[in-house]
Order: sequence, then C-alpha cells, then structure tokens
Amino acid sequence: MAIELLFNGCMIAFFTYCYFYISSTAPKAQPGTMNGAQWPQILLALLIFFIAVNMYDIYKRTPKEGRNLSTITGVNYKGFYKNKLIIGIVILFIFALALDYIGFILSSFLFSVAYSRLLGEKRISRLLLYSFLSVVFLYFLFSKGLSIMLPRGVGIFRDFALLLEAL
Amino acid sequence: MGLLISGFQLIFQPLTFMYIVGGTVLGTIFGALPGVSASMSVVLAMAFTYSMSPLVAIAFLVAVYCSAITGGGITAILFKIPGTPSNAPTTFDGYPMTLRGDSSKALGISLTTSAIGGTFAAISMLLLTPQLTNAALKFGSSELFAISFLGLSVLTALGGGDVIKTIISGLIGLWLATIGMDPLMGFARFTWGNSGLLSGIEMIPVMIGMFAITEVLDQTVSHTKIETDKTVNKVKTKLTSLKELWVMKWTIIRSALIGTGVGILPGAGATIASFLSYAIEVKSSKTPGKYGKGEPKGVAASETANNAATAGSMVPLLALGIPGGPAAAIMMSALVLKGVQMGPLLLKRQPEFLTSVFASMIVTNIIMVIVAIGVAKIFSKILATPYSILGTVIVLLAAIGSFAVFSSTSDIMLMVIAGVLGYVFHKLRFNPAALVLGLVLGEMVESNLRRAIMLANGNIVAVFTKPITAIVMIASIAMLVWPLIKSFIDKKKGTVSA
Repeated sequence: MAIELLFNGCMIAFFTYCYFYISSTAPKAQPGTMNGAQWPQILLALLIFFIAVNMYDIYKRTPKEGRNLSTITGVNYKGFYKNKLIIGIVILFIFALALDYIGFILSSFLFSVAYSRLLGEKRISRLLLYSFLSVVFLYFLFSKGLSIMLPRGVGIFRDFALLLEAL
Repeated sequence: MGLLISGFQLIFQPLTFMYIVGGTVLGTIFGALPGVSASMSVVLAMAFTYSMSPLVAIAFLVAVYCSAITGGGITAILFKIPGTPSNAPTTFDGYPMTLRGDSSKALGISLTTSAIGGTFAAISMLLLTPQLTNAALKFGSSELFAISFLGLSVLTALGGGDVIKTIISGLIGLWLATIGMDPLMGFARFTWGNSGLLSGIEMIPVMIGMFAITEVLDQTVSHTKIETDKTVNKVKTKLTSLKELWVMKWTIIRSALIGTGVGILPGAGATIASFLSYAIEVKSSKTPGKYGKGEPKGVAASETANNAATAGSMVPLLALGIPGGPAAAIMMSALVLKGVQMGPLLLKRQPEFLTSVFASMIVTNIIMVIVAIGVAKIFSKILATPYSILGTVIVLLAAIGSFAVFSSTSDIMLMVIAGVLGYVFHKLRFNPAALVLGLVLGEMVESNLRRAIMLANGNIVAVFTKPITAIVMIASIAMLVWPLIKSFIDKKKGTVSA
C-alpha cells in the first residue's frame, strides 16, 4: 500500500507543479480562442482529481492491519545491486547511452552478452557466438538491406562503421 | 461491377501483377520487422517505383501498405512487439495465446480476418467512394474532434477491471501528447528548455518501450516459459475454418464496418480503428473478462479493423487529394513526382486510379495470406530460441525500431524510459495500452477542439450543438461513463449481498 500511495503522491506533486508551470510560460490567449495552456490544464486538473480518488480507493481497500509503512521500511536496500530487475534496467540505460559513443555494433554485442547472461545463459562460448551472430545479422539486415544507418559512434568506432558500410 | 472488372483488367496485366506480388512480399516482411511501420514500408518501397507508370506505382505501393499492416500482426502475436501502431491491440489477446501454445491459431485468425476485413473494405470503397467524398466534405474540425473523442471512449474498455487507473493512464498519455511545440500558437510546452523535447514525445519509441521492453523486464524477473510444443515443432499457421469464422461472424462484420468507417476520416486511420473495434468488442461481449487473456475474438476484432481501415484511408486521398495519414501522404508524393495532379478532379478525369487502387487491394489481401504464412513460419521458428537469447534480440530489434524513425539515439533512451515506466505501470496495475492510446489521439483531439472553438469565435456551445458532433459526443460520453456507473453499481450490489 505504502509504495502505491507514494507513487501516486509523487504523481500528484509533479502534475500540480506542471499545472502552474504551464500557465506561467504560455502567452495570453487571443479573444475567441483557446489558450495553448488551457487544454493541458484541463488534463492536469482531471489527472490530479483522479489520482486523489485512486489514493483514497487504495487506502480504503487496504485492511487496517496493512495500513503501515512496512512495504517501504521493510525493503532490503542492500540487496538492490543483486536484484535482476535493477541490473536489467541499468544494462538497458548503459546500452542506450553507449550507442552514441561506441556505435551500434560494439554496444549491441556487449549488451547482448550482458543481458543474455542476466537471463540465465551460462555457457560463455554460446553467449559470445549467439551475440555475435545476432548483432551481425541485424546490422546487415537493417544497414545493408533496408539502408537504415545505425549509430556509428565516434573516433575509431565511427571509422570502423564507415568501413563496414563501404563493403 | 464494370468498375471492378476494369480494375482487375489493369491489375492482371502480367507486369503489374508481378509488382503486386513483389509488393506484398516486401510489405509483409517490412511490417513484421518491429519499428518498420506501414508508412516506413511505403517509403522503403518507393525506391522501386521510379521506373513504374503512375498506375502501376500506386497499385504496388498499396500492396506494400496493406500487407505491412498484416505483417505487423505477426510480431504482435509472437513477441508482443506490434509491428505497426495499429497492431497494438492485437498484442492484448494474441500474445497470451502464444504463451499458452496457441500461436498457430492466433496467426491463422489474424491472417484470415485481415484478408476478410481488407477485401470487404476495398469492395465497399470501390462502390461508395464518389458518395463518401460528399459526406466527408461535411466533416469539419468539430466533427473530427468528436470522432477522436469517440476514439478516447475506448479507454474504459481497456481497463480490465480498474477504471480509475485506466483513466489516469489515458490522461497521462494525453498530457504527454501536449509536450513540445503548441500546434496552433507555436510556443514550447513542458520542455523546460530542452530542445530535444520541442518536437514532442514520439509515439513509436513509447509504444515499443511500453509493450516490448516491459515484457522483457518482466521476463527477466519472472520468466514464463512460452509453450513451444504446439508452435514450433508444428509451425503450420492454421487458417481459420469456416466453422470458427461463423462463431466470430458478428465480430468480423462489426470490425470491418468500424475499420472502413474510421479509415475514411482524414487523420483517424488504422490505429484508432483497431483500438475502437477492440473496445466495442469487449463492451458488446457477454464474457468481457476473457479479453486480454487470449480471446480469439480480440485478435479478430483488431486485425479485421486495421486492414479495413487501409482501404478507407485511400478515399480522402483519391477523392479529395487529402492524404488521410502518413502512408497516404507518401503515396501522394510518389504520384505527384510522376506528374499526377491530385485533387477532386482526379477521379473524374482518370477513374482508372480508383479502380486500380481498390482492385490491387483485393488481390493483395488474397495473396497476402499465402505470403504471410511463409513469413510467420520463419518468425515462429525464432520462438524455439531460448529466451536468454530471444530476449536480447527483442531488445535489439526494439532499439533499431525506435531509432529508425528519426535516426535519433535519444528515441532509444525514450524507449528504455517508457519500458521502465511501463513495468511500474504493469506492477501497480495501471494501463500502458491506455497511455499509448492517449498519446496517439492527443494531438488530434486538441488541435481539432481548439480549431473548432476558433472557427466558432469562442462559442463552445455552437461547437457541440452541431448535429453530427452532438450525436457522436453523446455516444462517446455514454461509452466512457457507463463502465464507471457499472462498476459503482457492482460495488453497491457486492456491499448489499455481503
């Protein structure tokens, strides 16, 4: 319950801030028109209302003995770095960030190895082989077959990508 | 009848027919590749049209367009990655069918109903286009606002129980659609000085993230084994039998009519058609609880409607010279490049454009079934791959799909953020599908409403009292509010009986 209420509370705070932010940045409306801020404000007001209803609903649905902060305070924060979900999200973010710098080929290969390992593939040879084959296949399918130029990276990674594209 | 025969005479010339077959193969493969949307498929196929005559070119591009929509259903069913936005509702029941080992059946339903929807709409449009042109001309901003609002009324049918959370998800989608430049006044909204946000939140990365990345994250934590015995070892896409089709007859008829009708409206298109059709199916069902858990009628509703909408979307293009959506705009530019003058006089001067387009659609919808069976067979084999490998390939395909739209790595970051948010939504029982629907319809709802108010000199009452607008708005509000009232009544009944 506490985590759900916390998430909803954060949403209310954020959308309330957005409600006042848009009115301070929008120019004044011409007569007979709808201001560019009014539509988002209608949506934000509805959002705040429905989130508040949802929070009340969560509170009402939770049995009295469950209305405490144990779901937040009882979390094993030390075990976060071992949590598969957290590791998976971190790998995804690193992959998305690395594409610009080291290009599609290397970042995808490293991502494939890391994520396949996370998903339970233990045999290193199979891990490397499948990662290599899938990256090469996808690269040539989209880059050569469909002329979609994938991220090249910078420096030597860019030179390498250009070399492959010239093949 | 004469129109239809003259259309087939054009299409069955050997070279033209060959191009249509080629276009169908290309379109199905492109559509099945995540991130290669129907409009991108048409763009990619345009390179082949430079040496073709205008008539052959439009017949070829139409074949690519129709088959791409069908191809998109393959990955929606097998991997929960909608190949095109209009295949998103197909994932709701198609993917659960795959999880329980019924992917062959789901693919069969998808292909058969796509072909029926597409063929029905093509024949209807061939016969009705001139009359529909006059009707479509009566649709102004207020009517288009009402239609897009009708699309939003789908929201409460996507809830699967918790209506409030679904409405919140839909409103977040609508709010996300307001990020970027204001469509009428041209000032930045919710960008906080970040120039990357000026162009707004892209729909495709969000959609791919919300569906595909969320699923991979979910599988990372709690891996659900896909039942491969039925799907991979016997990879026969089972075409739906007449008996099964008879059971789904009302679903198919309803969805074909909705798809055709929505497709005609400029800017609406296959995505709204498939969401709307799915929602109406859920609402009209005696067993709505089965939807979202692998109900074959859910797949039929979405796939019939999106293919029917492809024919409808060609009406504004051919009759008025207004592209009904991005794919039609690309086709229009291909024709303009060839010196064809688009506009209301096109069909009066060259009626063969009308006949060749719709005859090509009919032929494509038939060939497409055979081609798609082959493509589905290849894609189903991939399911035999262990998830430790398949999961990473899905993420790579999703990343390429997000990147390919604008060649921007920030769209891949957006996809990852949407995936994480989708996972949180999934865990807290919010509704990612409703968020995507809000994002898809947001810009259309807002700009049409504001334009209508401007045209009525600020008189809001005048906007909503136009006959078509009023009828559609009443229907929309009834559809939107009824589940709320029903859930309230159910709660009351529960309290009384307890």
